[in-house]
Amino acid sequence: MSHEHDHEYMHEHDIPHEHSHDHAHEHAHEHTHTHDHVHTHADGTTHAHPHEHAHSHPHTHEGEHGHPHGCPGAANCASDCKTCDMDPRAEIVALMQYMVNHNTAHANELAQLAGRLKELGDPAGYDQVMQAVSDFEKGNMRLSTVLAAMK
Amino acid sequence: MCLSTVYNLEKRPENEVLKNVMRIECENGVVTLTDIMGREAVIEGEIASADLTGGTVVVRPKAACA
Repeated sequence: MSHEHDHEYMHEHDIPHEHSHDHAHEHAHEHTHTHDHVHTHADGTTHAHPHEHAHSHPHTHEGEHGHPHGCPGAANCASDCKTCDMDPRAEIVALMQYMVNHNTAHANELAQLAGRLKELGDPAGYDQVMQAVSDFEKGNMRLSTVLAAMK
Repeated sequence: MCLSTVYNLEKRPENEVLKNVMRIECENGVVTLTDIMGREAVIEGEIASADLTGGTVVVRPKAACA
């Protein structure tokens, strides 16, 4: 089976960031879509897993460019970190978004490992890992809900 | 695969350069670190080591090279 996704990041900086909309170049905002992913196993069974993943779409805004890149209060985080006035809540939200997306990727990888167990003649192992994947996804869905409420 | 913490010379708390680093670019003897919020740290030097399972990268500043 395959859970591979390949989304092109077509912009030179696809870092999640906050900004005012006064710029005129292409850039990407990270966001998440949820959809069913249908796949077929080696034994011919086909089923779907609902899952979500994040990707970016390049787009262009009209007007002047007006968002800060890097630390707004420091030229260099290595030497001027104390001057940083980045919103700590925004950072928590960004980290949680990253982790939710990361967990989704790990769940997919675990499902692939489960599939390999099955191919190696261990259907019980497959079932157990897939159950764990299901539990993992439930937990991640809860995190995703919390994250949505924080935004 | 995961975000990394970058240290200067050695993995010690006081040597931490930047946490939650999502991108590292090395060019012309300059290491540019970018964290998840887009903050950057620029170091003249090189990457000494990267522990990708431990999420730890150590950089060696130019002054400490050779």
